[in-house]
Amino acid sequence: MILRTLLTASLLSLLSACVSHYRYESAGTVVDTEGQQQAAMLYWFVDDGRLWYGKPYKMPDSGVTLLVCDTTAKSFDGGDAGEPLMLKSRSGDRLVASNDGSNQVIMLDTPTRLPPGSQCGTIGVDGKLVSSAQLTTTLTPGVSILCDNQSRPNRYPKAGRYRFDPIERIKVKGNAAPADICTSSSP
Amino acid sequence: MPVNFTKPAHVVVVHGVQTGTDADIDSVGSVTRLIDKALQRSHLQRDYETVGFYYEDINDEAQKYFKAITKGLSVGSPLTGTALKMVVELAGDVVTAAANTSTAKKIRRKLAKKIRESYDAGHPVLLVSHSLGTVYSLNTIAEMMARDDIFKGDNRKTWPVQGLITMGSPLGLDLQMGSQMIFPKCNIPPLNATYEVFPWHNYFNRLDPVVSGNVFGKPVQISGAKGPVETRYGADTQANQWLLHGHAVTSGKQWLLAHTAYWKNPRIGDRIVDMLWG
Repeated sequence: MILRTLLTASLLSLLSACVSHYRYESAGTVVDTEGQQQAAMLYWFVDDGRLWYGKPYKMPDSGVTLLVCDTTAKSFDGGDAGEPLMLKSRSGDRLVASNDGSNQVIMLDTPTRLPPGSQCGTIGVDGKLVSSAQLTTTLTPGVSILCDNQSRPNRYPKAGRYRFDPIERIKVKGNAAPADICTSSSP
Repeated sequence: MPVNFTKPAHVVVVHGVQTGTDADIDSVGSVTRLIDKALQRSHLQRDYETVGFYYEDINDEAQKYFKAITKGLSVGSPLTGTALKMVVELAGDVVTAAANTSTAKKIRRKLAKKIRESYDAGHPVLLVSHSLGTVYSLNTIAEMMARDDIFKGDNRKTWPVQGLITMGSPLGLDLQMGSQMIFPKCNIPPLNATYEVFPWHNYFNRLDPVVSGNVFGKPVQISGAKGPVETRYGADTQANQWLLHGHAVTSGKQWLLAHTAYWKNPRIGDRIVDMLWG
C-alpha cells in the first residue's frame, strides 16, 4: 500500500514537472481617495512548458490582480473572446472618468451610475488596451481607474492613470504570491 | 432577520468529491489560509468566520450497503478491499449528485439550513465551493432564490448568499450516461432586480480533468475567460440578473493536481477579500 502510494505520488510529481510555472509582476504606486500614495503591484501566473504527453503548452491566467497597500485587491478580468483586461463595476459604482483614444484619462463633468459589470478600469501598453496574453516581460503597463463609489470610498484608487514598472517574470513553485508590497517597496 | 453588513461575514465552504469522513476534510482550513494571507498582503484586518459544510457522512450513510458488498467481495484481500471502497466512495458521490437522489436532496436541504443559520443571525454569507460541491451550491442557491420570502430583488439585505465562488466545477460538463444526464443543467431563477446582479465567479484550469471531462487531462478548449461553465450557463445567467465571470487560472500542475491547486491560489483569496470588503 505504501509502495503504491509512493508510486502514485512520484507519477503525479513527474506530471507537474513538465510545466513550469511563472509569476509575472509589475510594481507601481497609486493614489488613494485621501490623496495618499500607496504601493501597488500587478501580478498573474503563467504555465509554460510541455504537457505530460509532450505537447507544448503556454497558458496565462485570464485575469490580472492589482494589489494595493491598505485596500482590497482588484481583479482586471479578460473577456469571453480574449478582449482586453477590464476592471468590472459593482453595485453603486459611478463612472467619473474615461479613457480617450490615446489611453489618457479624462475626468467627466457629470458622473454617471453604472450597472454592475461595466468598465471601471483598464490596463494598457503604449496607448493600447491589452489582454493578459499580451503582457510580456519588459513592457511597462499603465493602469486606468475610471470609477468611484460614494458609499464605499476605498473601493478603488483615485480615478486616473498610473504607470507601472517593466514587467518581471519569476519562476515559482505552486502559486506563490508576491512579497508584502507594503514593506518591500516604498511609495 | 435581514443581513447586517456590519456583522462579521460568514464564508461557507463546500468541499468536493472525497474519500474518508467529514473529519478528514480541511477545506475550511484552506480557505481560511487564503483569506488570511490575502488580508496580510494588503495590510488589512477584518472579522470573519469560515463555516464548513460537510456532507460526506450523508453520502457514506447512503453508500453503506454498497460498501458492505465490497467488503464481502474482498475478504482475504485487503488491497482489493481498499481500492473497491475508494471507488464506491468517489463514484458514489458523483452518482448521488448526478441522479438527483433523495440523498442529494438531503444534502441540499442541509446546506440551505447551514446558510439560513448564518443569514438568520444577520451575517453576510459568501459561498465558496469546489468540484462536486459546486453542483450542490448552485442548485441550493437556485432553490433558495425561487422562494418569495428571500432574495427580494435589489434589497441585498434579503439575500441569504451575497455571492458564489466556484472552483474546478463539473457544471459545464454536458455528459450523458444512457438517458441520464450526469450533471443536468440547473434552472437559473430570476433575481427580479433592477440594479443589482447576483455575482458568480467561476475559476477553472484548462488542465483540470473535472472541468474538461477528459480523464487524460487534455486541455479543454476555451475562448478567453469563457470555459465550459460559462458556455453552458452564460445566456441563462445574463437573462436572470446573475453576473457570471469566468476565470481561467494556472498552477503549474496537471491532471488531478490541477484540480486541487485552487485551494492554494492567492488570486482566489484576493477575490474573496474583495467580494466581502471591497
